[in-house]
Amino acid sequence: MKKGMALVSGVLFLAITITAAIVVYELGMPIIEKMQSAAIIDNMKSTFTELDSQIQEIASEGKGSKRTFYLNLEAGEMEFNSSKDWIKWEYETQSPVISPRTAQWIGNTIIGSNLETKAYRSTCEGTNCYVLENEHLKVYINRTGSASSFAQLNTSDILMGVWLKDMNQLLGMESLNVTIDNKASSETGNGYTGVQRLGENLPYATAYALMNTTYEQYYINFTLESGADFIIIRGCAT
Amino acid sequence: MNRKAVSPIVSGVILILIAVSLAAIVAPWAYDLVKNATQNTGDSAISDIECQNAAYDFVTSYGTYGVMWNFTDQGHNLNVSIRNTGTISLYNFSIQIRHNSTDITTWDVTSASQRTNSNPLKPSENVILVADLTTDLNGTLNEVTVMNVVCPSKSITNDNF
Repeated sequence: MKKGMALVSGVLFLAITITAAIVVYELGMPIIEKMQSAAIIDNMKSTFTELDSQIQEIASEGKGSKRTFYLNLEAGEMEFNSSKDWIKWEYETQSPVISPRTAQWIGNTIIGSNLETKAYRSTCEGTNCYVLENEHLKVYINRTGSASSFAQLNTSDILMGVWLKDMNQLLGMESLNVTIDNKASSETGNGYTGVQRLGENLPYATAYALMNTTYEQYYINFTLESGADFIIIRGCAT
Repeated sequence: MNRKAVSPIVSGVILILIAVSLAAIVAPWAYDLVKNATQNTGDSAISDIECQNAAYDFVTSYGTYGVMWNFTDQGHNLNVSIRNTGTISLYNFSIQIRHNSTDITTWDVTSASQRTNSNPLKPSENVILVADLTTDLNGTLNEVTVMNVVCPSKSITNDNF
């Protein structure tokens, strides 16, 4: 009987110990992984900053100048693209080191997450336009006027169209009209359109229109974020 | 004195039942204890990771080292221009000022200039925060501190006045 008791208490003790260890492991491991990821990203940030400074140094020197750069790739994938003139390191993590769909530009180094959007100039059915493009949408914005030379502008002319890449078709919409306080005089005037940042590997792209109307002067911002199948339209005072 | 005690088998079974019952009662409590302790440590670690990468600074080209204010009878306002220099989005800012050497007051930011969870100050973005001054301030401005709720430990102070 004594043997049986010892066996049962042993099993109970073992069960409790194993359960506690499993709980700690299950809850603790993701945190440890996140901390490891944070360290890896931090290390890579320093590496890229150092790499950038080495490239700058070489560029400032004469022809034939070169350096050997030692790179320790602990995780992720590295891409060297000579046609696009970039060195890219991609790493997937749940660690909250970088807020989703954001980026920080430090010299020539871009540190960001979800860098899947691009913004570029183009022509759309013979009209100059800006294109904001991510995995799902292509948003066409009228390219007109400049900060030094305003052009006639109607809010209905700014958003030219939205191409749904997944469905391979244009979004059916008549037009987009913007008014302030429901005043018709705020809908037309002069102004210009522009893009905050042109290029590839952006976390989001924002095109803006400055509306200079008799009622009010204001900006309309059109933002397309990486992975989004919608555009965010925000107005703000100048 | 002629009464019999319970047999060793029965007593063993009773002991096992008591042990199992106690284990059943204690197990959920122990599980919650371990889970909460681990969760709290984890949350704190994640918050630390986030805050290590959070940074912001005054836009020194704006006003006087990033601050523009007017405490005269003609108007009472205080604007602060900041830039997110880290990689974490920040929001819900408040402004603390020290004026007349010892008067310290904390002000909310007007809703029009405030950044929120749904429209945060993203990395590389600038914003001009307008202090919601509900009383008239007079005297000399000595120090301005900007705080946020994402990383309360990360505040920035400007005393270049």
